Amino acid sequence: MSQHLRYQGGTLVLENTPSNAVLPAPFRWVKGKPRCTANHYASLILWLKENAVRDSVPRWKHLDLELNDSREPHDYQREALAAWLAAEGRGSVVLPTGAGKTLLAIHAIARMARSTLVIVPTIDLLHQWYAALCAAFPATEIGVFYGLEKELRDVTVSTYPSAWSHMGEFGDAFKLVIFDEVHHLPAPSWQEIALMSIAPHRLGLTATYPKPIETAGPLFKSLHAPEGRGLEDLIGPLLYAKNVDDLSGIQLAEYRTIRIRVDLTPEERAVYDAAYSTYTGFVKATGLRESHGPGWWGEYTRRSAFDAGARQAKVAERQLRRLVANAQNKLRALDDLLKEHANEQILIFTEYTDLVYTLSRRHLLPAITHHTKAAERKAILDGFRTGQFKALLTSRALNEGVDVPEAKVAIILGGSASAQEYAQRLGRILRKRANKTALLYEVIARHTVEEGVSQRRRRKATYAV
Amino acid sequence: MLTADLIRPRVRIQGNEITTQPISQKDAIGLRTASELIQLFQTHLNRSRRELDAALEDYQGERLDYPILRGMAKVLSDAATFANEPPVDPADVRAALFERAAERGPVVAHPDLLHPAVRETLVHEVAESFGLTPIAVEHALYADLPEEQLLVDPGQQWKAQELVERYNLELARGLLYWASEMRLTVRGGYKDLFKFLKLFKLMHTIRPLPKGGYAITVDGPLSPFVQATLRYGFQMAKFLPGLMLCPEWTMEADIHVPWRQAQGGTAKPAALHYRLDHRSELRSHYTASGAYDSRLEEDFAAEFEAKFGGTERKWVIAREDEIIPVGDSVLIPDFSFTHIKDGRRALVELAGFWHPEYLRRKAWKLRQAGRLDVVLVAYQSVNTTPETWADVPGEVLLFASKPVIKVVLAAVERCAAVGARP
Repeated sequence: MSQHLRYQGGTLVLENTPSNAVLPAPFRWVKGKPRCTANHYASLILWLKENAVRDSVPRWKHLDLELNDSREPHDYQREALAAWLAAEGRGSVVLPTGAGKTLLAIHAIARMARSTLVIVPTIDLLHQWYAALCAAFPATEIGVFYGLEKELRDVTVSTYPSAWSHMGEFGDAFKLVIFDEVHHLPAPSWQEIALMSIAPHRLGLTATYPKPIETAGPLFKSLHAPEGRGLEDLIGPLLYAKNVDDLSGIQLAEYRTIRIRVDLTPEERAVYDAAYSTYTGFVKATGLRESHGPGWWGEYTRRSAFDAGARQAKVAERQLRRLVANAQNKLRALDDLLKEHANEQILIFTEYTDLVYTLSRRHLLPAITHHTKAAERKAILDGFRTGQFKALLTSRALNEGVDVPEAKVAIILGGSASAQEYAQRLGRILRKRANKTALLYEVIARHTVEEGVSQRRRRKATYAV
Repeated sequence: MLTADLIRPRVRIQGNEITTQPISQKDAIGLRTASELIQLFQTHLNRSRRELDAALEDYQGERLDYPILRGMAKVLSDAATFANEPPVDPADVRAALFERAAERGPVVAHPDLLHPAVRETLVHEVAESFGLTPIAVEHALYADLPEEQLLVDPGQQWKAQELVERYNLELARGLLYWASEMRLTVRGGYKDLFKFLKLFKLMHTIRPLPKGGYAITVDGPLSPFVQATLRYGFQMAKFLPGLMLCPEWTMEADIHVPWRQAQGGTAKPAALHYRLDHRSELRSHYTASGAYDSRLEEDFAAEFEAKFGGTERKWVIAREDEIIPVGDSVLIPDFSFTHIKDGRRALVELAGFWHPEYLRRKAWKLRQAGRLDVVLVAYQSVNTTPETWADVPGEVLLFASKPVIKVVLAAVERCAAVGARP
């Protein structure tokens, strides 16, 4: 029988090979057969042809794509695309947040016109890409592949965790793989995604390209990847980079933050104070912060499975967080804001999914959480963009990059987001439109843990924004 | 299967060894917790997951053993069926209600002259358009959320001991989520073992052991190319109860728990060893296949014993006791014949009336194996031609109906080799 190359769970296997055969470098004899990781596929194509090796590996298709995007790419997007095409479609592009990386990717997909997989870090970005690809290629069915929905199509968007889990099943099905926020990729297990794909064409997108020392340094040499494969090995070289200063004035707009402090009701206050003293009493008495530094939270959680004090503190802490999140006067304040901005597009964020649904029921407003499936999510966002829906509720599941430029009012009901999340939330409603100033309301409970969080966040945000 | 956060508090590390801490069947508190949880699920039949979760949280209170309690509850809810079938598609109800609400301005808790939209009116109107009651609309609105699903079937009638036993098994396999490689030794039960390895898409390397049985290394396709990937850990966890069906087995796994990683700076901590064997009290919940796959094999063994067994026997037969590696797969012949005096052995494979593709694959495997001590017993049938079995090494015996044992024994006599295993 003749030699035959096949795909097996992220690797390539050369069947029917005599043990004395001369083989190209990536192959190693493993479990009785020559094998290598799938990412070497492109480098083997010529050798396969020259040696008449039967190749049953690629399953990608030629796509009949009709690009329907009237947006004219900016010069920097055109330059970036040209650089990527000149590099045979292998490498990374750095553009600041909001500079239109998706549009660049859409043009790359249209030019290649082959089965394409887009991999993104969060479900929210997945939904954003899904909507953008649906709009750009209206005649093509776009697939989404993540925990809730697993639908593989010729153009599919997936998340890093789902791609990591399932790459062995579809690493042979895509000729182009686009890695959004590609700076995540050198992390030890994520790089397996790149290793298990045969795609000759790869596009990495990010606003923060990892420093060489980080991709090759000891940090990434840890558990899974002794060779410390960097982005250059996995994706190709860095081809094009522009930072915020290069592009300032193109995308960003003004905004104003208004803080609304509400009081807890006397009943809420009594419960809060009791829970708070249980919680802080434990943390202070044990001196966990001092003894364990940044790892104190893990230690606190660990102790709660055998130390009664820690367990009580945990229960009290959960109670007080819930109480603050659901404080009656916050709901009252939301009522007032909905009336005040009745004719504007409002985005409402809360940290807890169950509160999103409570508010959705109470105000009969559409809600988007991690439970919302792609089609409904898109319908809601479309309805919001056309002004059919005036207000939209989301949980923190929507933290990164949901693109709703029409929103000019955002309301954050409490929450303990990090500075980065905060900046990204702002970025979302601040896209320039009709030169109108955006408003950001923060509704927080007075004299509670939230005040500290909000101040901390604000201090960090001044650096980030 | 338990989630990682439910495994972690039950993990014990001593030196290089890692293990999970099971609940003893003599642990009165553990057993009482199990039966109270079973009871709690019973009382929540036909109620929503939201209500069930709230009740579990109440039950949990400030108890320190909450990881056990949540783990057992996870076992119960995994076995149970949750379902909800509202009379209309919740997404349609939401679209109708939210669109109507948006037309009338903001729905607020304190309507005024400028903001008159009243929730009750809107719900009522939408209820009418769907031919439902307002209460039915409220129920249907988010009926597709996981927490609105109803507990419709507990799956099995649990006893406290069974729940404890199953919880212990789930802990034991859950530790394998962080496994990069498993090394097994097994003796007997090979057919089920390889059935489960194949089912969970794991790869194996087999080495016969000098005193019988096999050493098997288990990993996945990518494993040889990266250092200690955890991508097959979940499959290994699913596989473990398959191993437990073997009569004699040991397992050693390399475990890389992520929390040690986080604490230890940049240096990679060495893998921890996780060992289990058949002396453990853990019991598989998978079903072992019967002694015989088919009537054909059963009849063959019975007839042999009747005619050529007893005190006059020359051959001892055993079921599926040898593994022949064939590429990524294995061939496990149905019977071995061992000569009672000189120890010569031959293997017998019976091919019944199977699908032609199955028979072709069997022939391919036999050719790949290239073993001269295998006797293939097959039927002349419409599914095969003489070419099907051409070039199969060893002997091929074709029968029009029932195999003649005497003829098979003659072939065994010719093929049997000295010094074969096990």
